[in-house]
Amino acid sequence: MKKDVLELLIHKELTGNISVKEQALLTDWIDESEDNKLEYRVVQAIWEASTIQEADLMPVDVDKQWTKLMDKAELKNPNEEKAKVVDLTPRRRSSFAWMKIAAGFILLLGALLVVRTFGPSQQPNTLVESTSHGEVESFEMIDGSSILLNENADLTFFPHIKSERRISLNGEAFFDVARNETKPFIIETPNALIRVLGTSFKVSTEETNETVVSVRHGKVQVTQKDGGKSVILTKGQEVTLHNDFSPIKETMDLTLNGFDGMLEFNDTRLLKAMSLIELKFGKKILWDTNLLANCEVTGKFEGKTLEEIMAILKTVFQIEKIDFNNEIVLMTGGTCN
Amino acid sequence: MMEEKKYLELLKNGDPEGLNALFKAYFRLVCTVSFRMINDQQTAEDIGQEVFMELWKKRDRISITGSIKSYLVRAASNKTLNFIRDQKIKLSNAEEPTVEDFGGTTDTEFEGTEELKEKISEAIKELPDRCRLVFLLSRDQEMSYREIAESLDISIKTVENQISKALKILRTRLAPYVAKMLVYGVLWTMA
Repeated sequence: MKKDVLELLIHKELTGNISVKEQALLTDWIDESEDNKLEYRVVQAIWEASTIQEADLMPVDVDKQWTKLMDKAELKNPNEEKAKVVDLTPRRRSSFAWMKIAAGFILLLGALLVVRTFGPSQQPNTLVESTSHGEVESFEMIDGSSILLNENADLTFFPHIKSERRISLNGEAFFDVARNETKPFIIETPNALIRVLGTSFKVSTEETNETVVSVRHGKVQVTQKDGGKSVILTKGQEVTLHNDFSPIKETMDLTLNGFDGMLEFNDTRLLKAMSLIELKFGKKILWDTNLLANCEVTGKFEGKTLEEIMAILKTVFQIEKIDFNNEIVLMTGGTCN
Repeated sequence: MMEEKKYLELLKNGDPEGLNALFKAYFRLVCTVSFRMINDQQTAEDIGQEVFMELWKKRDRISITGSIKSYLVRAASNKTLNFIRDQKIKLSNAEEPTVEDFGGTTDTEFEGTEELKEKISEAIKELPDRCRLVFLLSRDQEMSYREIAESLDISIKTVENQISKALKILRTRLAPYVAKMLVYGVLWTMA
């Protein structure tokens, strides 16, 4: 075996990513001599010992840093943050210099699923999040995905499953899934498994035990749990699964109707409000976050069209100009006062 | 773990007590994750502040699927990567030192595991920038090759090369110590 790949093979073995063929190569090499055996154990030992250990911790004046944090947190008035507001702003925003830019690598999966027979999971190692009547809740996941859970719904996470991002749902939810080809995002309903394959789309079910999936952009695979039949949907397509799949049809309804309360703002930062407006209407809004990110907005925009909402924002924040294009709305200028 | 759940609950209810407990438990770890990546103590502390500020601001809608610890560790790593990106810090790449430049050491006069840990930290610190980042994303963040490639905007092949190189450099530098410890069976008490 070429010595060049030795370290890589050992690393693959240590991280559990080694193939059968590679494992055989490595084992043969180790068995070749006592020196090889020792070398293997040295690399292994270095790997094990290079995790962060107590002794590696950086010396920090923790009390001083805590005071610093409290000062900062209080300046921002923590109480203001207490209002239940859904935050779906992209986590990489800090790298966008002055304007929000459509992040092409983010997959959007809109899932509206209504389910009756599916109770919260009783399994150990799961995490169940629930919403009550009239409550819309959002969750931001470590991987960059976010989930908007409509009222009276339960969402179950399975943190112990590492090979995929699996979630089961009882009720209605909208998913914004960050791309990760090595960890597929799978949503389980009583009769379907919905798997994110490509970019962005929306899914909805409106009757009990019936799953409806409609795609905003990109590609989604819907698989029937009993029987294992599956269909793949792309942009603008919709399918209903009850006992069997309906024919695939074109869909026009790609907005988030039914998420009442989603656009109710109460001293909400504009950055948050805009993300929700974008999500609701499936459009990208480009605006100057330098001027407006910290502005606050209060009001109920439920039932209004995008044009009506933008007209209100234009007056409130003295926006100079608003251009509506196909999928993008461009806002120029503006001020918080 | 039960304690942690309690603190997380407190945090979600807006009780600074919860934040304080998590801060005390993990602030140094969060800073260390960042420090290992960029070797800059001041920036590491700033990033630590940011991580906990965000935890506080998002407390009532945050959803942590794994442990709070791995959540914070990942947050520190992501913020550090963003910092590197934003600052356009140039990762040393061209004319990088070769494995041979790091040489083995002849000084094998040492006892005890404390010193070995120190030697390892030191050796990691001295890896070339890109090499070190790739190694740490695998070690501290348990990212796959693909995830590392995406995070650093490099090819999977490059990730493999850098992993291989990092381990080779570390092995060359540390082999005399480690081999000695292995012989005496000391290392297994480290964990």
